[in-house]
Amino acid sequence: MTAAAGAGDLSVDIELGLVPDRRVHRRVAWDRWLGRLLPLAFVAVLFPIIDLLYWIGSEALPTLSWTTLTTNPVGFGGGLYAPLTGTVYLVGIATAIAGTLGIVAGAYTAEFASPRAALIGRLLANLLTGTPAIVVGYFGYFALVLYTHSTFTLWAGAITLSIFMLPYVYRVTDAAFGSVPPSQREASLGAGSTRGQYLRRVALPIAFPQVLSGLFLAMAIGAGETAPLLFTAGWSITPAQGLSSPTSYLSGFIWNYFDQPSNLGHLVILSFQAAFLLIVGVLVLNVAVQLVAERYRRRLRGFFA
Amino acid sequence: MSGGPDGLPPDGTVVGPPFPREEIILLTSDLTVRSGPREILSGVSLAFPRQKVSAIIGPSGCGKTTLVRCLNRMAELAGLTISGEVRYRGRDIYDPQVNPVQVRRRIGMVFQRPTVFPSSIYENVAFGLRLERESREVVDRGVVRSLKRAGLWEEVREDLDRPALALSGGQQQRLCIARALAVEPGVLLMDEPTSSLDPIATQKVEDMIYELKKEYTVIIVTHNMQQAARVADYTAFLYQGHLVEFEETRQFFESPRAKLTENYITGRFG
Ligand SMILES: Nc1ncnc2c1ncn2[C@@H]1O[C@H](COP(=O)(O)OP(=O)(O)OP(=O)(O)O)[C@@H](O)[C@H]1O
Ligand SMILES: [Mg+2]
Repeated sequence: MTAAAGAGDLSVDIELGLVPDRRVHRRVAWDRWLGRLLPLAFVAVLFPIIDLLYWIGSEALPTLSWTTLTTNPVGFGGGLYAPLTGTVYLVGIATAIAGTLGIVAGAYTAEFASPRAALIGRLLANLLTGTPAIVVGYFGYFALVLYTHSTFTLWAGAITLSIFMLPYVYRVTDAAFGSVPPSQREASLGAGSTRGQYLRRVALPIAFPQVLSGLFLAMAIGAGETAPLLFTAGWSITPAQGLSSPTSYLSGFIWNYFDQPSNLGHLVILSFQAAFLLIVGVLVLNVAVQLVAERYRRRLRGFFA
Repeated sequence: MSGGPDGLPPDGTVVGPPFPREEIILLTSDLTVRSGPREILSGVSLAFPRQKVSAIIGPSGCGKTTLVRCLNRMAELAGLTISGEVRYRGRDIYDPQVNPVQVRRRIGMVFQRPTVFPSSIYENVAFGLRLERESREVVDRGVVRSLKRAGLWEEVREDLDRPALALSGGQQQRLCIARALAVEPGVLLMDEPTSSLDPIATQKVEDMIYELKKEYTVIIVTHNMQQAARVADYTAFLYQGHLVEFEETRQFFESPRAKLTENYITGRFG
């Protein structure tokens, strides 16, 4: 070989640093392993979900029909009208309460509260998120059923459910407003806005997609909860007669009937169908939030870059 | 009142050209700013003349941004303690009776980086007018007028409903200027408005500043001495929180009074 280096001359490659050394080899090998492990982990996450959906679907779907949704449970059969509407009322009212309080309190924490007050608010919210649902239910029972000398009511259930949902809405809102770039705040205040005007006109549109997904997440969690409702909304097999009477709800239906002997009509099948409706409801909420958030996100393109 | 570091006039002295009273639109006297125990501005006394462009120059960290932020009460938002006086048309804007929100409407601000809102071009300029719940016609007229003054109208007249974020950096900065102008402020503060722009965009902003002073008082912070020399009628030199010199621009650059100023403009430090 001559001194003049030709193409493919290894010594030149070494000089140029193009020949992989041992460490590079190791990294490449590691990379290859990761490339195989990651899909495995992905499947491991997906498998239980798909299995669950398949299991519930195969039990629920064969006999699920429009009448299931529009008739009341009777005897050992019937439909799911009462629990379905009950869940819609409960979650609807609870969302209105938790949504209003959580968004206002979250925005307050992010913008107006002193650092200490904000810290306390966040701490309490974390505490409430960590509180077992059954404890929240028990609290609701004491405060809204025993203390008011009332019975189990839709009201009590919705309020207790909203207490359960509140910290999710609150924390997401706080974080969403907190993640608005400080330069937007300066620009807004510098243009002569009050802090309230900044929150409404500048920060809210930016934080909105995140706030909305927090709200929908809280709804999805709330819809599936049973424990806060058992001691507060009571249980009824008929549609709620009003806000001051006990109500039926999907998760309660599952709780009450999943273990009935299967020769007793099709209560077990109905429980599966209740579960199926809950899952579909959560799915619909998720898709809806993605669609709405996407529209807003398009407006914000290039903003968080 | 303590004296400044070597070569500095004692704190609180009004430095620079004496303007007749009616020419002064904004005046600071013995303005001192602290962050905890640390003094960021020390006894700055300075009078800005109306319908002129005044530049503030000085090495990085000398307090230029802090000074302009005191002029429209933005500094207190960052938790700084401010003492001394700032008078706008004779009125002390730090008087407890005065609402800072109102001050910021009269004394507008443009920041170092363009800070457009993620809405349309139109809505960005309309922001301040909407805050005051102006009627549709007033807002429409204000938007067009401000965009023209900011030299952006020809470029965006067809695209008023397009997202402001789609504009180039230079256009965004002029949009921010239009937004500040829309509420007809008495004074426009600009903190290094061209430092993130290329030479052509910078040129456009400078041309616009030149036009603006026919109607507005402009106070501009700049890192760039050539820029001060090009656009400013008066130039102030700030050093370690002290005002060293405030002079008619030509005099400032050709025969500065203070040795410190001379050293700075001849590039011996900073
Ligand atoms: N909110 C604040 N809290 C504490 N210190 C601050 C604050 N704002 C500014 N400072 C300090 O005050 C000094 C002056 O800052 P300022 O931003 O006014 O300088 P500047 O002249 O604008 O600098 P530059 O040319 O780099 O923009 C700096 O040392 C900075 O660290
Ligand atoms: Mg600065």
